[in-house]
Amino acid sequence: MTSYLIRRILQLLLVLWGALTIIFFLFFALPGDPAELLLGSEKANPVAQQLVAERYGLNDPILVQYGNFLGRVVTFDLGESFKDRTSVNEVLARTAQASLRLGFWAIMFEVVIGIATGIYSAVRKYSFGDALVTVSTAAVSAIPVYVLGLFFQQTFGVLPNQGGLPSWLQLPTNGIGPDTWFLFFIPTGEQWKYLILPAITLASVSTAIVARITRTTMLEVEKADYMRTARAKGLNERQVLVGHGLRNALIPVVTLIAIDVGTVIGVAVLTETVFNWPGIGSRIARAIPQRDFAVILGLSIAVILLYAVANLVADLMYAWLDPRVRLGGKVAER
Amino acid sequence: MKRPNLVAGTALVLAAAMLAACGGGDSGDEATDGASGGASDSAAASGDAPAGGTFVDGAQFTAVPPHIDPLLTSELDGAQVSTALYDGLTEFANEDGAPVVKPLIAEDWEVNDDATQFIFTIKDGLTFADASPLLPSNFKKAWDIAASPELAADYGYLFGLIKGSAELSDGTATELSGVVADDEAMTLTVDMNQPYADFPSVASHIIFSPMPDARFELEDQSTWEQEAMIGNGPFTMETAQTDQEIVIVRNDSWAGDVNGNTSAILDQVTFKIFADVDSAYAAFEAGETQSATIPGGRYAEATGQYSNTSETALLASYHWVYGMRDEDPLGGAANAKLRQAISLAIDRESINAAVYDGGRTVGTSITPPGIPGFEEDLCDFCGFDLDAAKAKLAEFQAEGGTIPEGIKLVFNAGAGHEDVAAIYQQNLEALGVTVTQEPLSSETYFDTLRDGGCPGLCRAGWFWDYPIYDNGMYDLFHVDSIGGNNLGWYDSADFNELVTTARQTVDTDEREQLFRDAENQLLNVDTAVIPTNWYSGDHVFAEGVEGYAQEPLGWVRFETISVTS
Repeated sequence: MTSYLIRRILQLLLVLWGALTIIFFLFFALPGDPAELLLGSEKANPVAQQLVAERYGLNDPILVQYGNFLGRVVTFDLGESFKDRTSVNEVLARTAQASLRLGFWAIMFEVVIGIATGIYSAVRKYSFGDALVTVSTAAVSAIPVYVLGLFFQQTFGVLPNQGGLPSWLQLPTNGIGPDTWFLFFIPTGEQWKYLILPAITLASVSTAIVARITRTTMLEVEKADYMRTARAKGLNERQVLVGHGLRNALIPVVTLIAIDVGTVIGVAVLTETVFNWPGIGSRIARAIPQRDFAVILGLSIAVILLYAVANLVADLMYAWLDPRVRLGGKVAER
Repeated sequence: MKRPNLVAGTALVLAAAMLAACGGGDSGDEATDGASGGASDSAAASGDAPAGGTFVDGAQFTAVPPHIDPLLTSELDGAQVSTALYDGLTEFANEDGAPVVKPLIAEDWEVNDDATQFIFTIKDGLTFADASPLLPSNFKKAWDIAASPELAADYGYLFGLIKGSAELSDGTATELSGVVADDEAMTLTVDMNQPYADFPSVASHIIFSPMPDARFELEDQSTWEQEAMIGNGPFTMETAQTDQEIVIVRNDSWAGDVNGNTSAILDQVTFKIFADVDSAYAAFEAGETQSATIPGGRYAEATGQYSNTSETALLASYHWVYGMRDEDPLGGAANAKLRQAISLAIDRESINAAVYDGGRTVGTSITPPGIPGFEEDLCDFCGFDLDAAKAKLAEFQAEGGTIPEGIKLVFNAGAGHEDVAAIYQQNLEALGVTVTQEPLSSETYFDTLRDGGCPGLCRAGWFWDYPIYDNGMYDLFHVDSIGGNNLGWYDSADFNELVTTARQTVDTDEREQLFRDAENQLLNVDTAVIPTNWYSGDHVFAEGVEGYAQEPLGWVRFETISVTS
């Protein structure tokens, strides 16, 4: 187990290095001199160009710049924004908190609502409820996130305010709100009102998919020998479903959710844009057209790391869910 | 002055359009009782509006502003904060519908006969919001920073007329030798490189704002806007901006303005920063903000429902420029008649009706009414007349001209110009000229044109920085502005000569005549641009808000706003 973990962490570092290297050289492959891009209408002034180039070390050979960059990353110094010269470490700290909180609740929603709906559908297969779930999950996964977000804003913001719906339904449509939290994740005071719409919007598509996959795998598992054995042993239906059925059915669901962790936290651009939630994804999206390389790179490091860690956790989860999936080679040889 | 990008992408526009239909229908039934009545009586300001309160703005920031520092900002939204925080030497007052430049922080100014030297006397006893004194040297030091290559400000070129700017810019000097501050005599002496009688007007631009001593202690001048900026205007800041909002509070040491206002009414203005124009509008409709910018395509719905500024004519032109280099398909002197035929074939009324719900004014020159020196119907080729256009085209062909292949209509995608481009295309097809549409990425659109010119007809627009003729001529069409805002790379010896002479002419009437002659050359001889319309106000504001108005230059004077309820 320990050697497996060490190996995986080394792999993770390798992935991180590779991704950073690719992004770094892609930036220099883009047309246009970075100094000119930074200067806007003052780009014709050679003195101004020189000053910017010196400030960001753009005159050094590209390999030297690359070396400096890696050196800074290793010491956790992500540099300063090309555009407004704020510290990228601070930008990352701020946006990552907002993204983690939003992402956490989106994943919670996915796990609880998605899996519960899937189980319900499987247990009551071919019932009216099952049909309803099937239709509604298909519909939800077909609605673009942006449209769903605007729809929520109309339903819970505009209509209650203008008397079309009762005012107790009113929720804020924009911003992170008071930004007050307990134990990092738990919203306090009015905070939940600001959290709920973006979290549901962000979770919507994945929740539908989780529900569909849970239903399908539960139905497959249902026919498995060990389910019959479990019933034959005289276990009650609940023990059969949860202890034997669900545990096996969850493996593909866990994979899906693990991949989704990276997505909802790192690249929730549309949801963050519609609800004006100051997270990582929308900050990267804003930095790209501005060619704000320091911000793009600094925040990308965090997103890549997040994906890698989420995948690692998913792999560890398999082992716990299904003892047949063993970590490393030894057991498999048996 | 540039506009911020209103919409992030085509997909967003489509999605918004889908919802616009249902949003409008739902709210139209029940919510119109209070709000719609106020649409046209916004002038009825009540004298007994209570002082204080907070105004939550949702109209200014539909995207995160690149800058709010007056020395750095080049877009209307950032300039809005700067204008509320800082007062410069001069300001424009409206006298009988015409803008007149007045001293503001300056007591007065003297100018020598050939308009090469200005001596501004600064009012005694003024302070910034932190109680530090406001002296001539606060202007001098701020200008040295604003014009420096270290700051590399977009509007740094405005200092180019001042002596010593070249040396500062090429690094051989660290200050503007042409600006001398005398804190004893309270004078600021400005020497120009050339005669330039309009300097007091240019000095109203926010980049000429004074800065408090606190700023001069900064090691890196570009970080001023990351702190709570100390102002000398009607408002100041007590907290730094965040990703979510910018808060400005009343400055009780404000000296007042040229219109007789002496204190802001509000305690505080909170600018909410949005990432998208549609969600900003939703927040307004949900009652979270008290103003909003009307999203494209919802003009009639919005103005029918809420109090608005659509009656305000802005000093801003919407036009399309021709690529004017000889190698451009429509460029060069030989194609002048073809360009005139095209301009005659554009149905500007239809564009205004179809795209802007009739909310704008059809343009008859680049210079809008309200700019001193404006002449009605200056353009000979701006009225829609398909027969005349065909006759002109026949004339062009009879003289051996041929209609070039592959003419492109180039515009920034996702910002609402698709519909205008479609009408242009239809109009040109009716004339017998085939064109293709070429939408470019909004983010890099202007840079692409500045660096590479315009391969056909390219969409452009301009908000005047200060209401003088020069700002629409020199900055948009003079050869010096190629690589800057002269997007069509127009370079006409006659036009350049007229503008250069006009800028150096001291007599006002004579100067304005020269500018009109230059614009005549631009529109009627060379025909380098197609004036299309002049902008109107595009903000809505909530019930209980009094005194909300967009200035002709586009920004809002927050000191006159009051809120009830």
